[in-house]
Amino acid sequence: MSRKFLLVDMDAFFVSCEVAARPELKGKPVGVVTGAQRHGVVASVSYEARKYGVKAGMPTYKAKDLCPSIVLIPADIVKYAYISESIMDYLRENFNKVEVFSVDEAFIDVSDIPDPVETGKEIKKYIKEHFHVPLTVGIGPSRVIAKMACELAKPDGLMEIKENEILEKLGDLDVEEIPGIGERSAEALRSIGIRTVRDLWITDEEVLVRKFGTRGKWFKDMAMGKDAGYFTLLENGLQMKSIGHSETFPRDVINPDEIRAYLLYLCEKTGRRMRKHNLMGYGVSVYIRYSDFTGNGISKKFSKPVITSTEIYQNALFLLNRILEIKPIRLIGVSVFDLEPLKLQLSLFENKEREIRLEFSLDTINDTYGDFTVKRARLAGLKISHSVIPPRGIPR
Amino acid sequence: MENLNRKVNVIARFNGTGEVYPIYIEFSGSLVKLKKPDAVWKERVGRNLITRFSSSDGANRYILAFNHETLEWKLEGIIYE
Repeated sequence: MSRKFLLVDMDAFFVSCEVAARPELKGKPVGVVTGAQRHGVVASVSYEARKYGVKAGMPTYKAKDLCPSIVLIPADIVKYAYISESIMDYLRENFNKVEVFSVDEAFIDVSDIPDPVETGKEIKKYIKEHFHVPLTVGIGPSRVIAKMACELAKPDGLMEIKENEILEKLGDLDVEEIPGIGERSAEALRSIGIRTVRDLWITDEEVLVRKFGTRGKWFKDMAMGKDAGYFTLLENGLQMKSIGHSETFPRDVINPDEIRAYLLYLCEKTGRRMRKHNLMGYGVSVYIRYSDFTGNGISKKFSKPVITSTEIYQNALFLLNRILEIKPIRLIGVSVFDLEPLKLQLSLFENKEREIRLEFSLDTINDTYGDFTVKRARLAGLKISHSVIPPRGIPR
Repeated sequence: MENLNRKVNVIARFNGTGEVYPIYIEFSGSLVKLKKPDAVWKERVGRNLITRFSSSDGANRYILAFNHETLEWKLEGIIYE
């Protein structure tokens, strides 16, 4: 039996949640903003605002310039997470094979469902009625084709692409429309005359591998509708590759003590999430963006695992000092990568056991009484926001 | 939104299907009649479960929070439309 996947993808999800909570905003240009007022960035944009050229990732002042009537709303992550979780619960209760791909996307294996288009219509109707969130459904013989069908049908649409229709319906699309092929890869493909999905189909795999290595095969597979990359991770069970947090400051920061305090805060959050998932990592990376929008990043791998928040902070601080320039900073990001399950091997822990136990105990207190109820003295007085968006493919 | 975070008196409807939502709030000395909430969402803060309601009186929008631990209602803010 051939396989079939159905992708449920909420349209402009954060904005849709706000419009659901405030129906008077329906039909207006709306943007959801993360980060502090002056440094705010538009995270989600309504289709009405997109007509003015407003895009996700744009600074708020630019969005206002392009669309002066835009209604900008501070992100309410708790609201979005709750609505997302409620929608995913509904899908899990009604279908056997649901793969949550991100906060607003889920794949359902509908191979054994006789009429997936009818199922797609029912899902759309239920979610609209109960959550007032518009969504698009894409159906295809693989996840990547379901995803591309979904993109073509947006907003508020439904499209099925059958195996024998792939080239007819997707052949003329730009290679950049293939999930995972970004601007740079598309540019590289164009440099050898590959502009469309059809071009990738007819190009010999050997040519692609010679030019791009294993990624060349991946380009070809994706264009042919074979799941690869993220999509095969879904098949094999999601695996977290990294855990991290970033923070855009309420104002530019140049004071070294304040920079270190923010870094410690991010390391604490990262460490807490690692402990929640019982993970340790073998690499740390740090990213800074300055007020002039230039940025720099650095990462380092270690032979011994990074387990505690203190260790993350020590390594992150070492890396930060190597790249830090003396100019105002607007954002810092920290992540731990090369993750593995936390193993209780005494040889790895040396004298760390007490510290690990202490951090787990602090987590228990903060889980009971609220985040950062007990915190390091250095974090006292630090102005922090609640601005973490669950990233793609990472279970909350 | 005007942030208020003020304790308020609420009359709530229990509609027999497990749904509970505010229908009146006492605010600025008067009773404000609210329509059925357009959105309801929950948050756990430590051991407290907070349910939030986004309700309109037809003119303004009221964001209300019910604390399941203390059984208190708070008017978190008003959005003047």
